[in-house]
Amino acid sequence: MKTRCFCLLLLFSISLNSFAQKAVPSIIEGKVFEIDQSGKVLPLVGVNLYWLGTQRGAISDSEGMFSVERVAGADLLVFSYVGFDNDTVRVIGDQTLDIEMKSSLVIDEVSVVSRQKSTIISMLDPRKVEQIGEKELLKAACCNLSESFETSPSIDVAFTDAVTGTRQIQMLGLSGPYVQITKENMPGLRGLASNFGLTFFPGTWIEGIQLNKGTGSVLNGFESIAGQINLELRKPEEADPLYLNLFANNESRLEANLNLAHRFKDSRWSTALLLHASERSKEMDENDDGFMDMPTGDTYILLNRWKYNSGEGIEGQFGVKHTSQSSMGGQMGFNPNKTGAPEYWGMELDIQHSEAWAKLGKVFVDKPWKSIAMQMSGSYYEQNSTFGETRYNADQQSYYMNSIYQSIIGNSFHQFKTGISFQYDLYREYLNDTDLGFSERISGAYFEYTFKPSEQFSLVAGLRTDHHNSYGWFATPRLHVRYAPSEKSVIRLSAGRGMRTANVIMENSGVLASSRELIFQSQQDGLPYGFEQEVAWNFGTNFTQNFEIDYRHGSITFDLYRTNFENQVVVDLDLNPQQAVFAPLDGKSYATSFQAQLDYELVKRLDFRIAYRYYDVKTTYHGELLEKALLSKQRAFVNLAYQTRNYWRFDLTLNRQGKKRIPGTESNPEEYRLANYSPAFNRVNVQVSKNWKESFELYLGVENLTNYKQDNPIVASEDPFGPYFDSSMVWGPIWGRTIYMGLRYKIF
Amino acid sequence: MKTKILKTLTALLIVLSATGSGSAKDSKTIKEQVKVSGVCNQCKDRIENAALIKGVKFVNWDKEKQSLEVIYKSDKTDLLTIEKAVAEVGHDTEHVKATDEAYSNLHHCCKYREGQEVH
Repeated sequence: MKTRCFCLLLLFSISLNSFAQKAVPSIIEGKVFEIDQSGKVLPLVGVNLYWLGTQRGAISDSEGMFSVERVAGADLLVFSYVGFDNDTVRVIGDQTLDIEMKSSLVIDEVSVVSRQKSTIISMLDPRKVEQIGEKELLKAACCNLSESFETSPSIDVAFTDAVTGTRQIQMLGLSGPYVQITKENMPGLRGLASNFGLTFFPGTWIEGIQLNKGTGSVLNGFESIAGQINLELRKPEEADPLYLNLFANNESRLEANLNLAHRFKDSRWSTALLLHASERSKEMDENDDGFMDMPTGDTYILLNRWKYNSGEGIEGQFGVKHTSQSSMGGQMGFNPNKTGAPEYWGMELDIQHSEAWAKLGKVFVDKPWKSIAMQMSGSYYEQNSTFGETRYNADQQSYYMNSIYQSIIGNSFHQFKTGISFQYDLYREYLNDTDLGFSERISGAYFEYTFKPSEQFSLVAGLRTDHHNSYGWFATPRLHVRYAPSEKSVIRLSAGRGMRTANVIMENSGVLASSRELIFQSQQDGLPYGFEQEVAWNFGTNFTQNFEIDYRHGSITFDLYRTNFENQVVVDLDLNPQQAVFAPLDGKSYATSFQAQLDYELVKRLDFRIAYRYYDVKTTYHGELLEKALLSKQRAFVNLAYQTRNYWRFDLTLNRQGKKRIPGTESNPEEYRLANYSPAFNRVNVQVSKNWKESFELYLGVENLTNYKQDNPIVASEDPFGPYFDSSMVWGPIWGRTIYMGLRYKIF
Repeated sequence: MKTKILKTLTALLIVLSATGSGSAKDSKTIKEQVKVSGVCNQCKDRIENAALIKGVKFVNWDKEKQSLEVIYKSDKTDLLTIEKAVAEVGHDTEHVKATDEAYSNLHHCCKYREGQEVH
């Protein structure tokens, strides 16, 4: 009884207390400003301020002055302003506040990766963005973008065929072309370049990679279906004046990268020159099938970029890049210069790729929430290739323009981005003597609204409409929602539609390295390759929980995504092992993916990552719903990374791929039949590196430590001109253990 | 019944807190803030790597506050030892100044003594 009495009294006094506060509203007044580079105090107009955890707040006036009524029980005042870091102030008593806000101006859409942790999943972004930073990229020393995902459980890397050695990425169970690849938020690899183009970005040129699973922003167009990969290349204003990287492995692969950067005296202009050269000279046939395991050849890439920053809100940049790649593969005795009837089956590939781009942006100094930006680019891709007796020559001209206007509606709770875009592509494509060329002209407009009332909740809703010269009008809606129930946990939802034109030959280049006959079904006149564009919906949800045990941080993440195709160009390799049938989807096609990942600093300085993913990817082929071929349903992944105090680094990555379905070969003669499923296998990579004075580093590593190889990656390798030859049935590693070493040297 | 549960719970709590404070007598986990000069994220990496010596459980350097938060076991190390370790790689701390030689090895973007602004 006594305690109950006490409780009542307590309750009463609390309510009385709050009542008292309500009865005499106190006003907090103050001024909010920034201090510019010359030390001048500039008032900030329209700054949003609110009491944390409430909907009550105010906006600063034209002199940066504000007054806000106190709210009972709230003493944390949050100041938020587009382009500035949020500031939270504890208000005690009725003091006058002077708030200086710090600018965080960047024209680029996504800010540069922090170097703190190697992979960071942003807690604030409404999209789930995995930041793969420089440290993570160093874990796999070799060599270009296609090999940069060895330590990322979100991306699978598979070979398109056993002849070209081309790696293709897969995300959410869908192959590379369904992932939009952008370079600093501009078109990176599109159309014809998307197949071989992953090798056009050397690892040491990349500063960071942002991996966005599921539907992307409408700002970057309508093409992303499974996700988006954005590359941030070395920035001229931040890069070290000199950075040299040399690499060699025991399979005669040699690479050299040289990055140079210079800031001009007035520090408005800066430039960077990036150079790459690589070659593979020795013909190797470890598995004795008479075919080279990897083609020989060389690659040269050059990039030069310039950046301008006026210091008064105007930023501009432009750059050029050229890639030249030639390679030769096939049977060991193949000589491309020999004329007459071919004695040996050979592959020749010559690629030239040129790009130029420019960006211009203006931020209004007096209204930092407002900015205008313009992006332009042009590119030319040309490929001349032969695969045995098949000739495939193609080129593509592309022009792109996008404008972005960013501002707020009323206050910074409501932000928007809007603009128009234009894309032109001219494809000239010849498969032997068949002309497959077409052109695309797409103009569109988009509007993206962001509602961010608090740190806990944000919503991004985007819509774009585009007009395509062959497909007419179409709309692309996209939605992202983020909710953080606590500081350490976040839930996200996303849904959106994506569209793309399938470059059916290039995206299935593996079948060119086979005797399969290419058959096109149900084509319509006037459409690229005679097919409607691919249309898919993607829905996703994910949950991230950060935690701390014994002062060491960790996180656990669950992902669930589903892609449903409304329209797809289906490549049927199952109907007949001597054919590849291209036909529009008739029936269901979907991809479901689940992933769980745990990251934790196991003991001091030892980072541990374990992940598991499950795919259910099925497509209707000739009326039958079949599991997607050459893709493992299950994958497990473990990565251990240890760094000592004097910069020794040890890395171990283990990948276990579950069994994969192999397309039907029942009708082949017995010696050319394959099992229905491949075995499961493990792949282990290790690397050791040591850094001296942050400027010199040596690394040594072993790929495929257990020396696991697919037994015979080429069907009918002894009869490559016969009807059963097929090098596209690749499910595992083609070559065994490789040892590599290299160095990195920086001058700063 | 209810009281029994309550009693066991209380007993359990007392035992737990006793063991907790018992071990704390020999070795306390101490959390402290100390001034450390630096300018950028590269400095952050370097400072935190240097400070994470034996006995230190957690480090976090805040470049805006120019302050290093450390959590360490008092029986294994002390604040001055940690500060010395940080000064060794070129960063001045509240009680230990880095030698000119150590300072000269810093990346040019990290030269805090020459008026490099925090970035």
